[in-house]
Amino acid sequence: MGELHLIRDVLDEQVIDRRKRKMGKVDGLIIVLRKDQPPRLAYIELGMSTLAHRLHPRLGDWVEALGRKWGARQGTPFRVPWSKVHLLQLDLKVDLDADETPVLNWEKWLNQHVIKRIPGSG
Amino acid sequence: MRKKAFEITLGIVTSIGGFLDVGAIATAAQAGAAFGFQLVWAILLGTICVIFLVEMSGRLAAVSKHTLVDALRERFGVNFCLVPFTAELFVDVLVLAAEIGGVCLALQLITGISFPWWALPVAFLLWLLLWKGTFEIIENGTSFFGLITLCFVVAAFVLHPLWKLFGAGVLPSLPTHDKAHYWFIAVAILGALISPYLFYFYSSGAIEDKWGKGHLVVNRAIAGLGMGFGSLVSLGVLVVSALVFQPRGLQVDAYEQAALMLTESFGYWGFIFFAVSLGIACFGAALEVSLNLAYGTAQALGWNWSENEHPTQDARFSASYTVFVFAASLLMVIGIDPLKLTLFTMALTAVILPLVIIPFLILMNDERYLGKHRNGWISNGVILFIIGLAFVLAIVAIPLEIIGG
Repeated sequence: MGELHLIRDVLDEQVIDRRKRKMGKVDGLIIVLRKDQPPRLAYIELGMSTLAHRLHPRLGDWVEALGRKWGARQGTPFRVPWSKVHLLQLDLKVDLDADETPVLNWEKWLNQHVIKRIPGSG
Repeated sequence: MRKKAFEITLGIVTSIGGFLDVGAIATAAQAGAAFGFQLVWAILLGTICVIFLVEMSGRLAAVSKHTLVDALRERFGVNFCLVPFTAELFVDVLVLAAEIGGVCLALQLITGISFPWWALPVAFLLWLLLWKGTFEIIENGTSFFGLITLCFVVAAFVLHPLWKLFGAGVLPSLPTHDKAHYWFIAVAILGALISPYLFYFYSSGAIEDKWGKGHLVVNRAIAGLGMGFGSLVSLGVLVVSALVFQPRGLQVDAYEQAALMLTESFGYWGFIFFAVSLGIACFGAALEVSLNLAYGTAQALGWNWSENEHPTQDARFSASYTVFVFAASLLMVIGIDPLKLTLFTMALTAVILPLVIIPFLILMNDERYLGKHRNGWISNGVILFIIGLAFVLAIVAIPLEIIGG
């Protein structure tokens, strides 16, 4: 593969796990600065607060506070090391199982507390 | 080959049955009553535009395996997409309320019980079908029942219109009276036909049906023939309204008046046909808009989504349509006039069209997504022209309509 444009080819792309389950979009990129070395892309970040921070810092703080209070134990964004990311044609596949990460906490909480209690849900 | 032919036939039949919704009925009926055949051109222009847009959204999904919302966020980023997504979400909720209002009014016409009382039962029935149904049931089921809307086409022929006058309406002409209202109705017709929910929903449907490049011919046939024949139903409404209401100087200010448009052709049954057509057309459209709202939310945020899965498999998606259906129905519970809401929403749609469609056009010219199946200059040109026209008409006509009352 030739060039990789981080904003065009990585940020906001769909992330799927190793079982092709959707985990979310790439909401943020974490680049670490190293002394006497070029910056390095370390993680992709998934989470509502990261997304909200990109729209407006205050909105980000607000979502983060809400997440800490009611966030189904998902107050902080989830980081995936860049080494676990594989680029597909338009999506990003990560070498993880979504069920073992916190990205589906809200989905599971909603399922457990609301959806499963409604008749005919499964 | 036989499978392709079946898919095409099914697609065309469902497009015809599903073509009418509350906006198309209300705007065509008002146009016919107030201006006779003079606004036929607006229906034709809107249909041409929607054929191109639906074909494009099916092509995008078949080639890239991405829905329109997915591709928009991925291509333009969340900051850019926030405006078109929010605008679309807002308008879709209003459209959903108007469609639910259409079903409630149909029930009011038949039972005499005032429409706000029907809002929650209708919302519950909608939700139940979404909860238990599959994409196929929702896409094909209501559209087959929707074929009853062809009664407008039959009625148009029964009334023997002067086809010469009808033909004159194909070309735009200036109105002799109520100029502001004429342009407002033209804008509302364009907004009703070029409903963004239609092509957003279509791209999600193509993914649900697992379309690939082999479906490009099917896609083109469904978009062209399905939408083309579908618009005959809208034209049928306009023709019947023009022949029944205009000579008597009657305006369609309420659905109760519109309900009488078929009685001249079919007697008492005409009233029943109108109510059932309105109810089924709006119910089918309400299902599509509800799903579209949930699809859009899930795709913008990268959640799992599919109407073919049990709700437990995509809890956030199922919760989304549940919230949207009941929230929209509340607008009807409080008794907002469905006809006014419909016309306002359709005109508002025309205003947001450039916001939604220009990024779509850019996407359709992106090699990364479409490869050699990118748009040609004809698709780009036609869409730009019609959307530009609808936008200019909208920003001129809406303030005039509001000032004129």
